[in-house]
Amino acid sequence: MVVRPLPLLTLLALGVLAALLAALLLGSTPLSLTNLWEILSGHSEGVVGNIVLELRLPRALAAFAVGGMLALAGAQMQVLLGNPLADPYILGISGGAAIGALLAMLAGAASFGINSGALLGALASMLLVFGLAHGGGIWSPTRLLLTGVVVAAGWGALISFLLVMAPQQNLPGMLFWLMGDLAHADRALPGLVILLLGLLITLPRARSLNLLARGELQAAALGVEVKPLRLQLYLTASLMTATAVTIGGSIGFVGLVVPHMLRLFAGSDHRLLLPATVLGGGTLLLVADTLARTLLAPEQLPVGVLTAMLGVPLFLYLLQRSYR
Amino acid sequence: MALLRATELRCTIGNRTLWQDLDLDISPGECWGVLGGNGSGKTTLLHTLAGLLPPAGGEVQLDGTTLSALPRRDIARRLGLLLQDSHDAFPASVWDSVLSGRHPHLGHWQQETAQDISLARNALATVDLSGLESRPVQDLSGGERRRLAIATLLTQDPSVLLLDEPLNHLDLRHQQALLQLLRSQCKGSGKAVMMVLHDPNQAFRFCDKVLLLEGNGAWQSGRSEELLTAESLSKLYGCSIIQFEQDGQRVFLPE
Repeated sequence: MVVRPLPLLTLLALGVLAALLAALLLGSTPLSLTNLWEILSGHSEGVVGNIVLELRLPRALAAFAVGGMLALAGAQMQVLLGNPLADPYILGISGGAAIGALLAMLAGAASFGINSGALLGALASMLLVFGLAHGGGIWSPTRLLLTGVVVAAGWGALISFLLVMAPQQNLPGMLFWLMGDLAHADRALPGLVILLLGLLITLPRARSLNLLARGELQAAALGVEVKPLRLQLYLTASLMTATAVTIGGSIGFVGLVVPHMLRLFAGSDHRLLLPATVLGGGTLLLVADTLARTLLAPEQLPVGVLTAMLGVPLFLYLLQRSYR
Repeated sequence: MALLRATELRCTIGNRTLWQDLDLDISPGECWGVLGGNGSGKTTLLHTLAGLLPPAGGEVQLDGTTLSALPRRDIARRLGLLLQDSHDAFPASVWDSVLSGRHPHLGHWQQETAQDISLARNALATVDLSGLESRPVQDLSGGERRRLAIATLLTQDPSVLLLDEPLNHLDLRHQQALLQLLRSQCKGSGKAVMMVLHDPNQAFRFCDKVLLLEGNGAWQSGRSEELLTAESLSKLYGCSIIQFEQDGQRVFLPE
């Protein structure tokens, strides 16, 4: 499995471009390529131009960033916890964000308030889990995993409680948030910046991740400072997850399955795997979001439903193929 | 001068003291064997000497510098450790695994050079794994995985090699080949080797010096031909061992 990195990354980048193009062209007002070119090069004014530049483009870029962040954070969490079943939400970050967001919705907050609530909830949960897992001074992946899973279960119960107590008219909005929804993603910059930051922090450590994936002792014996590396992984993965859920709610599936999907193609070297998961995760969410807003238009579906509907058969197919 | 030196090293686990006041001088060209019963602290000693565990007392020096003052990367460039078991939660290819031995020699953004690649290829050839580069590690047999771990250590190319039961899972031919290889690394390239062994016959044939750990705080170190006797081994393992001698070779058998 000696994979050539350049062809794979080029292919994935072309996938991103194709998905981006589709996201800009498709919608309630379909466009032709010529129209799009005129708009993007600034030669077209009017409503259609506004739709593309102010609605579709930011939403598409935000979808890419969220997908990329979730997939990258998933790959990191899997190595951090030494567990292939780990995903970005396993340590309760999305649960904390959900509590914050749902409380803000119940308080009647607008989208800024909901986003702030989600971000605060995510950060609070991240600190809580880290503090509890770190309590005795020993910081083993198993203890972190157990702490996170239990805190996440606690959030889950609180979420159910809030849903039961919530007035009827709030329920659809709350459920959409919980399933993951990019309808309110109107700014692309925060997501893209945090994604880039996460990638820049993680990429130079990709070789160390390869070693950590083979166990803490093996990594330390080959010169990896395991403790600081774990802390960096936890913080960057948590920050990206917090940003992603703040933008798009708890969109499932991307963070768990995209890293595994790409391991099937790209092998286990994180120097290739990390950038590949960003491109793959971004593309998956971009395609899912385009379908979410066009499939039953004018009705919009929560994108989290689509990621799973697209991802489950795709992943099962790849898995079957790789065992043949 | 000693490559690796331990002074007044102590290990306590729970309220048991496994070894104490342990002094060791491991010099270039020396091949050491560590023997002792199960739970006598052999693995713990190797991990302590590699800096993976802080000692309960005393200190370890590598090339004259205290281990705890050195960054892990610096240690790993000069000292390698073969772990007793390897663990693979995620799929990896044989080639990726063996190449990971170069990790401590490469900077954050640096790619492996042609020289790194040829070191890894030679290491695979040395342990008889050439041609399996693209295989997933999970598909290898136990003995092949062991040889892959040894190839990774050879690719790391440290001057001190610590090996925890290196012969585990190996067939007789590969056991002999490995012991000869380690001996030639000592004698030819001035490296120092310390390995945990369970067979006193192999220790006698291949090690210049041995360390016997009794597991109750007591230990002995010295030249193999002086320390490896029926009497000392019977005491060490708590069972009766007899010895046969011919032409300077010694063979030990449990009675």
